[in-house]
Amino acid sequence: MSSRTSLVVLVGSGLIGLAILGLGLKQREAPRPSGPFSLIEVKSKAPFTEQELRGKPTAMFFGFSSCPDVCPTALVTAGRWLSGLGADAEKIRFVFVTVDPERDSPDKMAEYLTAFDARILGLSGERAEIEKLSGRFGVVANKVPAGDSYNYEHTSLILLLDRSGTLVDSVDFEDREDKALGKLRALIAR
Amino acid sequence: MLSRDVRSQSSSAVIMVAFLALLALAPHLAAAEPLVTVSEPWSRVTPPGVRTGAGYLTITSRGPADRLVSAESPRARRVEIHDMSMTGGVMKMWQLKDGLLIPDGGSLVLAPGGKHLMFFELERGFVLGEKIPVQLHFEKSGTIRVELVVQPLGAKRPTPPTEPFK
Repeated sequence: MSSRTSLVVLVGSGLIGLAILGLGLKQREAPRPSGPFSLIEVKSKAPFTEQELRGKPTAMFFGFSSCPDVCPTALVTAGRWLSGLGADAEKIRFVFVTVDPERDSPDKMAEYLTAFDARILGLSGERAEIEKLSGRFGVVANKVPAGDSYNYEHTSLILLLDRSGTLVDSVDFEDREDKALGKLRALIAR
Repeated sequence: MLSRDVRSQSSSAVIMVAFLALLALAPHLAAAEPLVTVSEPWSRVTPPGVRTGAGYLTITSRGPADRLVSAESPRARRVEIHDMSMTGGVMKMWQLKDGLLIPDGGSLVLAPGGKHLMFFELERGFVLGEKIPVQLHFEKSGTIRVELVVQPLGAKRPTPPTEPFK
């Protein structure tokens, strides 16, 4: 085998190895059903941990209060869906999680949420704890500078968790209402 | 009879045109007639405690092309021109530092989910029904003043339609 061929083989097997490693990493990044986190529900000021994700399905949206368009629109839409669910609305928990805890203190979040359906809960707390929650579902939240301020690029899907706290589906706030209600009803029925 | 009618019609038409021209020119004696018109300027209620807001409007060119360079408002410390996208379930937003080109004879819609004016450090939140004064600075058309009519949270479009601003 010439040195050139062996180099090709070496590089080739290296690439295959990297690809396998990459797949492995990807698999390890898949949703983890457990793992403790400790946040605060902003309305009751009660602790909110992985235990609170059990017993009832959850629709979870990540955002921040300074977000001018997507977050308020998603929260208004969530309120409309809750009304659309009628009596079933109490069988699901709607939670808005801030990705910007430095600006969204529990008090500020609670004030913010008064503009929306009263059944929507809010989560804030330490950044590291929020990242434990967002990390387990692969939620994107990147801080981007905006002049002397900043914004967040963030996952705008509403995550649907079953009553064990496992991510099973997602719904887009721009989806048609009948489609969204169908997904929420299916989640409740699981 | 017929010719007198035509003559009197045409002379009143001349007077009318002259009057309209004066009316149109009066506010722009120092500046050129704007190449664009702005219609349906609107915004949305800001939730309590929030100090950022968004502005939406439609800019129509009667040609040639023009560019919205910047915007300002007495209600915000800073107004920027932004665009956003939603790809793969992730919302991204960025400043359009070169402003917005309004193509010759075309029109540009700033609307939720896309291009918008972004208000930073509001002096106070936007309340339903109030009007937010904004100055839009164009490369060729100069400054056009509009008032954004504040619509409910989550509104997708303005209601009722508002008069065009020139």
